[in-house]
Amino acid sequence: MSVKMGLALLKAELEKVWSRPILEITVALMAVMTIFSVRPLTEIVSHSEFSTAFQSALTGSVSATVASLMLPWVIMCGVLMSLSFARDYEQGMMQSLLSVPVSRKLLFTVKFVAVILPLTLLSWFFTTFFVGITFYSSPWLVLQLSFFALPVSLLSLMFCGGISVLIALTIKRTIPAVLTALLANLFFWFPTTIRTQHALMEGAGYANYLCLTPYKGALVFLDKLLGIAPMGIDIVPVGGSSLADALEYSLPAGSFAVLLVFYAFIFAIPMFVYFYRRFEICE
Amino acid sequence: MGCEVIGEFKAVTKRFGATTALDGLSLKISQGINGLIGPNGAGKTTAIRLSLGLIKPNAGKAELFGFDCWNDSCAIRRKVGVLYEKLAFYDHLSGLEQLKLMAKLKSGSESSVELKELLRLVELDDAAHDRRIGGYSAGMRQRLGLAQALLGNPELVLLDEPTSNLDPLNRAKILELITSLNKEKNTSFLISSHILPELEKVCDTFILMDKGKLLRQGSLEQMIDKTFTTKFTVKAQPIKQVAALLKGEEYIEDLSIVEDSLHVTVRDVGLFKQRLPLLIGQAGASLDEVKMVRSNLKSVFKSAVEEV
Repeated sequence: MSVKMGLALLKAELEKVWSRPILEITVALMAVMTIFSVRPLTEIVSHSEFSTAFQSALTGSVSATVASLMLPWVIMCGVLMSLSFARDYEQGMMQSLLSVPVSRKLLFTVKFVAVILPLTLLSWFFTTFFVGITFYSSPWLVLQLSFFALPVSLLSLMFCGGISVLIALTIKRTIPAVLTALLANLFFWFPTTIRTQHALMEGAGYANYLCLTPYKGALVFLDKLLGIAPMGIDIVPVGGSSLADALEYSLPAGSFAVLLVFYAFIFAIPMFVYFYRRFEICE
Repeated sequence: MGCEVIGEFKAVTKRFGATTALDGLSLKISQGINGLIGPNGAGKTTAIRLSLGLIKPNAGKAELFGFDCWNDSCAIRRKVGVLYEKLAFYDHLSGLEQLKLMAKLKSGSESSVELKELLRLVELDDAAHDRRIGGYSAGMRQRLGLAQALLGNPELVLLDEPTSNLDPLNRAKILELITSLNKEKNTSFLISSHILPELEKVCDTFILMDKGKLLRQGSLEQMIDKTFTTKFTVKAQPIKQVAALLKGEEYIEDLSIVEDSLHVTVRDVGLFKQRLPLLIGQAGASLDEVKMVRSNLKSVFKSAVEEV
């Protein structure tokens, strides 16, 4: 009965969250961001004869493409998740749903999944497809990417969703919650735009720790899974240690996997527990 | 109607920050039609939410059908239907789809016969099939909300302002429906409303709250008996002299001359009845008529709230 209830509720939530034109906007945003961030095919192909240059192009392009793709995920996930919780609270939908014998655990899970699941699938598809058509000369890379992009997208989106739920259930007002969730997620996304080796070479020591932030960490993890290493990490900046000693390059992939799982659940689990044990409708 | 108690609040306190919404509230919900009345901010909606486990009390205990309202809220929600003042639906669904979904969530199944019957009862059978709820008028949403509250033959239906968006005709129909469901299916109701004459028509018992506390509970007659002030209309000659005499009496709460009669509100009916002929006699005036004004729910409400 619980599964049947859950599926019925999930269907209604999916239809509500992804009603026109939300899905269309999300797809368009992802497509635009990807197209603008993918390097011209000619450049990649012409360099492909030189392995080092190809490696460099790969590093720049995969990271840049996934980082750019992350922006629409983060925006849409932040907006939709905070809308799903804050707007439903404000408009009385949550009150109505909690007044029928639906368990709070089920309601939270359904609302969370209704946002995360389509976004994960969309981000996985876009990452695989757009990066794939760019690097068609390296099918093994495309295959690897299509395999690894799914868990990385899911875990990143869970962090984004978790923090957005926290904000929505704290603020409980639709517009302020959406704006705050957007700002918070953009704040965490921003480090993905900083190239660690450039920042370190310019003496910005903080850059060493950017790879420990949720989204940058996800990108580094993906690079490591694909076996991509940037060029020139053996360069020793003036007065500094080798770039290869930086956390981004020295920590193994496993460390980033643990970090990503940690971030995925750091807000999602406490919010789940709070929702089913303490959350109140007290408007 | 029977007066079996189906729910009880025992010294329930609920605070939201510095605001105390329920202040040691103790009340009983009986089988039948209960009216929940009180001024704005009295704690009526908080009491309704608390009874469904949407709010956890800071102190005290609330029970419905023997289940703890916070810990066993799922069991309660199987037996209770609710219509909130703030109506919310999946606006992209049609009325019938919404009811099907809520029926599934409530009992795990949907009976199309029951759904059709409910839609017929609230006169939504035409619009419910193909129109999205987003396009419904306020009255239609209200009626759909009522149909949703009645899903699965609940033993108790909590209605928060059930007639607020309805025209007079539909209000009368809803009240008729409430009465007939109570008689035919023995469904109990707890109706929170500010439209007191309507409640007076349908309710067996009343719960009067203010500032999170219970002021009165019982049938209208019991509420009137507990009211401290009673109104009289006095016709006497000369009226101004009688008014001046009565003004000095300590049991007189309020006094005014309206046309040729005196409207008097008294705190002690016995003393008033005893003293009035004496005062008239002393003044050499003539007493033509003394009539007690029939109290209604509105007057009970007013006097009880003013006493606080």
